[in-house]
Amino acid sequence: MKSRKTVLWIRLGSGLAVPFLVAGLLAPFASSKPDGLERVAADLGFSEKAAPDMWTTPLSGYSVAGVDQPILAVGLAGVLGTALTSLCAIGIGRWRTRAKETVPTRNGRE
Amino acid sequence: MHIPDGFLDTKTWVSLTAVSAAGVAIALEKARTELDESKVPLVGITAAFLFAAQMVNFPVAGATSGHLNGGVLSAILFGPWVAVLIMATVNFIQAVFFQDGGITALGANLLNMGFVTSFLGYGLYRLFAGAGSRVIRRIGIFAAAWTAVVASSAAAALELAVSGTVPLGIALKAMVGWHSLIGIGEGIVTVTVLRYLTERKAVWNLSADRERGQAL
Repeated sequence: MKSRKTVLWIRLGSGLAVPFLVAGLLAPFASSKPDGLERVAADLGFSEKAAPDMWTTPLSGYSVAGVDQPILAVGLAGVLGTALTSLCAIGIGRWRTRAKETVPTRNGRE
Repeated sequence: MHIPDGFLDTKTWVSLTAVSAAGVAIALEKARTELDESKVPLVGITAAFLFAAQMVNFPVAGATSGHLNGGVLSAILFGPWVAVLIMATVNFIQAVFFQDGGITALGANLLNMGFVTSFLGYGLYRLFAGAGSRVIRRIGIFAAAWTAVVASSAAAALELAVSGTVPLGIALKAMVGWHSLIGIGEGIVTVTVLRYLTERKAVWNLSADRERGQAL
């Protein structure tokens, strides 16, 4: 008999398949056209106002540094970012729902 | 429409960072009561999905490209405050690890792509959520998603104008023009994902939230 919690975490595992597939397999084939703001900045002539990045990481620009194959570099960056995002969001969610448990209930328990 | 460093002047980015930080603090407090523990896995999946989907730019009119924002999608699933936390997580990781969106512009970007989309989209969605017809509800979701993206681009144009980067009139016209096309993609993806989740409502415990679940 699996507990309700176990079931939830199994669902989490299976549900995460979609974002990982999107990041790993679709993202490398995304359109490289400028996005809406980049397009406007180019058309209206303020692109050059963009400041250089304050720092870079091995994931900068959605491409893993040192991986020569572009499709692989982007897919890998996507998978790593997806993992990082899910961990952060679940961490925040658990932190906030646990904070709730310390709030006294109406009938004075807890 | 992630604004990079350099497009906003100091007064603008400092003020917007303060506004967003205060908003996130409120959202963290609100999440204690508005987020049910059983939804935490779906929050993680949604945030991960939005990060992934935001990498997948689709071409628009051969001249530009757009990608999902997801603020409205998150707000319909979890309410606007939890949606803001999801968008903050995504935007923070994009700015810090991927250099997508400036660090000084993070507050502005979260305001545009998190607060504006989540709250405006959620408000519009609620106008249609009580409709008896499923078609009308879906049109409502599409309209909410489209309007949220367009309003988000107008907010960005306003910030660029206040910063003295570009005059308001032409910034608004250009940003709203392109994003009214990009917003169509937002509407289609939002409706499609919600349809998919509605069919698996029981699996995700969405029906536990009567107020929102019933309207999906």
